[in-house]
Amino acid sequence: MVDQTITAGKPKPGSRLRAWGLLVIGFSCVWVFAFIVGPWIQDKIPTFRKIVQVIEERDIDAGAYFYSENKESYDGERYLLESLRLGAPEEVGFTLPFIGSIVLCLIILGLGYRYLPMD
Amino acid sequence: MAENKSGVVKDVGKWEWSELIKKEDWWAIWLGAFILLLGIIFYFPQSGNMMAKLEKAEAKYGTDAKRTAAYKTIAWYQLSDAKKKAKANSIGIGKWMKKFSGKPKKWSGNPFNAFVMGEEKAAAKKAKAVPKYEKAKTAEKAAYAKALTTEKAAEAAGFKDEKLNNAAKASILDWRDARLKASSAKKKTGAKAYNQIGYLILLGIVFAVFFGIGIAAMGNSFGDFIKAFPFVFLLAVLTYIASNQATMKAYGIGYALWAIFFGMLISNTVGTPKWAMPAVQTEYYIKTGLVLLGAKILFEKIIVIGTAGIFVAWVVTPTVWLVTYWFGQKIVKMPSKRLNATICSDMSVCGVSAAIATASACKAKKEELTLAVGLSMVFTSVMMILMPIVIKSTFPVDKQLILGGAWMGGTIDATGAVVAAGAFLGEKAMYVAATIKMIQNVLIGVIAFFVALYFTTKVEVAETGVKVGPMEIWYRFPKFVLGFIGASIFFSICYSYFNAQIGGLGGAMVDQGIIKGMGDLFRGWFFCLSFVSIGLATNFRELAEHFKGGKPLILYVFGQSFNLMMTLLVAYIMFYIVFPGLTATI
Repeated sequence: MVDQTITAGKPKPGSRLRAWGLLVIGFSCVWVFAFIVGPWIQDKIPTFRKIVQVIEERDIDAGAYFYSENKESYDGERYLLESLRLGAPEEVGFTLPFIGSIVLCLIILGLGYRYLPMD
Repeated sequence: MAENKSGVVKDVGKWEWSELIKKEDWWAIWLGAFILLLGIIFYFPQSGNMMAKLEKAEAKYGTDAKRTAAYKTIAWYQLSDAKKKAKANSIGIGKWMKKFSGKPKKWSGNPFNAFVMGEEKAAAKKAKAVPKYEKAKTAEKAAYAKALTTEKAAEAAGFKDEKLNNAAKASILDWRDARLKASSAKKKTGAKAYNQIGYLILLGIVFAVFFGIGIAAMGNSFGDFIKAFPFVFLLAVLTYIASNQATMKAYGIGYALWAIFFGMLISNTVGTPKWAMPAVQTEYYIKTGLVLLGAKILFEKIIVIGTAGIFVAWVVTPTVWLVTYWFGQKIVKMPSKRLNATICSDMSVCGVSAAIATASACKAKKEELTLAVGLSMVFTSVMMILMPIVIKSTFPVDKQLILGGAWMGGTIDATGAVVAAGAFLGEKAMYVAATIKMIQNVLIGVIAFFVALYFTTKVEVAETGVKVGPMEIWYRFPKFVLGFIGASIFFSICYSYFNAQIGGLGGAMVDQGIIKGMGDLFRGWFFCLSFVSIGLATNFRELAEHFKGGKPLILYVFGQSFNLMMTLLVAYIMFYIVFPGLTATI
C-alpha cells in the first residue's frame, strides 16, 4: 500500500472538551451495542438466536478470517479426504479432471491479464 | 490514459544489494522467515514422535476402518479421532509459546475476565460444567453401545444387507453427535485460572524490539519507535478485548473492524499523538504478517474435496473476480483500479485476508483497504444469518447439507462465519462449507501474484506512460510477495513430504506445528497492529471521498450477487450432475 502523508486528525483550538466528549460517546456506542442493541437483535431474529446458540455450544470463533483459526476446518478436511479415500479412491489426488480445473483457473487469469480494461 | 510516444523501453530502477537491509519489503521477509525458522527448529524434530503416534493409530484401527465401503464404520471414526491427537505443538515449548502470545480471552459481562480469572471463579465454572459433562458422557456411552450392536449385526450379514447397513450408519451418526456434545461439555470442565497481564507486557516488549531492529536498519529512530510502540500495542489489546466480547463474537465481528474503528475514533476526535506516529507502520506490520500467512497456503489441501470442490473454488472465484473487476471499470467507473481489485478479492476469494494480500500487492491506499474490509464485514454478518434461512426454506431437504454448504463456503467471505452458518445447518454442511472456503484461502497466493504482476506490468505502465523492461518490473514488483509465495512453496513441499511418509503427518507437523504453534500465534497480532495503524492515520473525510456515489457498495453488491448465482449453479452441476459419486461419499 502507498502511505499518503500521514495527517492525524487534530481538534480545532478550544474544542478539546468536544473531542474528548466524542471519544467517550464513541466508546459508549460500542458498549450499548455489546450489551443492549446486539442482544436485542439476536432475540428478535429466531434463526440468529439459534446460530448464536450453536456458536456458544461449540465454541466456534465466528470472527475468524482464515481456515487455520477454526479447528472445524481441520475436522472437515480430515472427514472429507478420508471419506473420498474410502468411497471413491479414484477421485483422490491430482487426477486429469482435477489438473484440468487448475489449468482452467490459470487460463481464466491469463485471459484476464490480457483483456481486462485499462480505462 | 497516458501514452508512451517514443515507444522506448526504460529501465530506471536500479538494484542495490543494500536494499536487502534497507527496504521494508525485505525486512518483512527476514522477520517472517525468522519466526518460521524458529518453528522449524522447535517442531520438526518431533516428526519421529508424531510418526510413531500415527503408526500406532493405524495399527489399532487401520484394518477395521477399511472393512467396508458401504458406510463409515466405528473404527473409521476412531482412526480419525486418534490421528487428530498427533500435534507437534503439544510439546512444552509449544504450550509456552501459546501462553506467551495469547490474546485477551473471551468474556461476556466483565472485561477484566479478558485478562484474569481467579481460582475461585475457575472452580465455580468447573463445578457448573461437571454435571452437564457427566450427563453427556453417559449419553455418549449409551449411543456408542447401540452403534456397536447395530454394526455387529450389519457385519454378521457381510455388510450386504442394506437395511442393517442403514441402521448401523444411523446409530453411528447418533454416536458421533453424542460424542460431539460430550466433547464440548468436557472442554468446559477444563476451566483453569489464568493471568494474561504479565505475558502481554512481555509480548509487547518483544514485539517492540522485534520490529524496532528493522526500523533502525531502515534508517529510522529505534528510540522513537520504542517510545511509540506501547500506544499502538495497547490499542491492539483493546481491539482483541472488543472482538472477544461474547455478543461481538456472535456477530462474527473480528479484530480488523475493531482495530480500524478504535484507531479512527482516536485520530478523528482527540487526534493521534505525534509521539505515537513512529509506531504507526501499516505496511511494515502487514507485510510481515503476510509472509507468515504464506506458510498456511498449502497446495495439497486443494485435493480434499476432489474435482467438484476445486472447480467451485478455483474456477468460479477467478471468473467472478474478473467479471466484477470489468463491471467496476466499465459500468460503475470506479475511480481507483486498486480499490476495485481489493473489493473484488475480498468479495470473491475470502474476505479480509484476501483484501490484505491484494491491497499490498497492488499498493492500494490504506483508505481503500479500510473500505473493502468494512464492506466485507457488514455483508459477512448479514449473509451468515440470511443464507441458512434461505437454504432451509427453499432447498430440497436432500440438497441442504452439501449444496447448501458449498454455496455458503464459496460466497460468505470469512471462514468463521462460514463455519458458524454451516454448523447451524448440520455437520456435513459445516465440513463442506469450511473446506470450500479453505480451498479458496489457498487461492490467495495465486490471486496475489496475479494482481502484483498485472499492476506492475500493465497498470503502472499505463499510469506512468513509460514502457518498462524486466529490470524495472523486478524493481517495482512488491518483494514481500516473494516471501509470501516462497513460504507457501516451501511449506507445501514439507506438508506433502510428511504426508508421503504416513497420512496425517503433514497435518501434525505443519498445521499443528509451524502454523498453529508459531505462524498463527503472531500473524493475528501483526495484522491487528497494522489495522490499528490504518485507523490512527485515517481521516473520516478522506475515507468518505473514496465512498463517493456509493460506487464501492454498488460494486460489492453486483459482485456478490453474481458470485451467489454462479457458485450455486456450478456447485449444483459439479456435485450432482458431473460428480454424483464423489458427493455420495460425503
